[in-house]
Amino acid sequence: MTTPATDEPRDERVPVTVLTGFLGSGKTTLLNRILTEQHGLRIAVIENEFGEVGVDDALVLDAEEEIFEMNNGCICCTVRGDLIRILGALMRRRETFDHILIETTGLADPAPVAQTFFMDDEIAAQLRLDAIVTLVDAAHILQHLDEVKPEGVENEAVEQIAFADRIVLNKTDLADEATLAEVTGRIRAINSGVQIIHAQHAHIYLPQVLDVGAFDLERVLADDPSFLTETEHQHDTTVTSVGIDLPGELDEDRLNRWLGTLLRTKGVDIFRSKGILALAGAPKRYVFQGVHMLLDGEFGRDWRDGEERRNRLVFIGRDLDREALERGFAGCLATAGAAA
Amino acid sequence: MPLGARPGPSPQLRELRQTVRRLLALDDDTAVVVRQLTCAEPGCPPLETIIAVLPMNGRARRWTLHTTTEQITEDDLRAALLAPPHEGA
Repeated sequence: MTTPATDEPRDERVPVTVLTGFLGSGKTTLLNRILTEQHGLRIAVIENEFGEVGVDDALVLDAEEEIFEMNNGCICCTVRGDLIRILGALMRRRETFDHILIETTGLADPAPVAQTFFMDDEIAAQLRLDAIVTLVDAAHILQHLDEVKPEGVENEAVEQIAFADRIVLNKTDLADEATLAEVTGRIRAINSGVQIIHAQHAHIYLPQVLDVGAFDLERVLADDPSFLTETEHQHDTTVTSVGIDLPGELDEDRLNRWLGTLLRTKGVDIFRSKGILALAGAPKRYVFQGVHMLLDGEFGRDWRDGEERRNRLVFIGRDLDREALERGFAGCLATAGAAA
Repeated sequence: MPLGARPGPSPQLRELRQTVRRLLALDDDTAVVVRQLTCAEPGCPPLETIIAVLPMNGRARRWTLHTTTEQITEDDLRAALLAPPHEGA
């Protein structure tokens, strides 16, 4: 955890930014900007779209997207084999860069990329997923979102927005106010808590996307205390966010049973989950992040004297049943007793 | 550790990876992933361990051991890894 305001030890792991976005959204322009601006960082780039980036002194590695199933037929447990190999090799020359940036193809599914960081403890020990940044073309995203896909085929534009920690809403000069408002509404309906950065020609202030610690919930909440609770009820979208804010302490066994069943039966539809929990008997807050069925969690800072024990979590996914999620989670409270 | 989350790096996991490297005579460029996962298949034990070997050049391989990572012995690994492969990717 890297929260400069606290006594927590500094996180020395290398931050990794994942850059996604449809072809034409301005990804390459942003990447070139990141590589050429004077920010003092030595960035290693892993790119899946060949030959688009050419900067003399940057470490640029080509990779061919390789989806690797860790578990037979379970899409929740797919990782990117190419990344596991390349990140492992990069770690052996750790002293030559400060930051890693992974550029995905316009049609790439962000899940296996993110899951790679949740799967391998060696990678997680040395690298930390900093943020998933999705570039969106303000003038054309609506047609991509509305594109009807055949049964069983994902709409990649929806997925890339659902997985994002930061959306760079690019080319705002090419869309009118009404379109921008509609695009913003559609993005919020899918991923209510995501930070949206407006841009033209992918011109953004780079600290908005680099080393932002979006997977470090303690840090996110220190900057934005309402981060996990700003979800809206949306009934007209398939992919949406469900936020739960519940005071009280959780019974760990009940929580494990409920969450285990939920992820086993609905893991395919739950793209991302994140939360801060109050476990009964634990002096520290339990902080977790998940991608599909894979979870990463650890105890964060101590609960402060007089601080109300409450649980805040968000699920982003497809066909989420808000009522069932709220009911199931409430049943995990230590005080739920015989009702659980 | 609640929620069945990924356990942090442990001496035992490191040892398992080293044993995999030794048994299969892998070079340093080959990535080895050992991960305990919740099994979603009905009738299977709730936790299983996946071992994946990804050489820098060449085919990735994968084995599933239907037991927790903690319970795996060198004999288990030898029996699984040195048997003719059934799975791959």
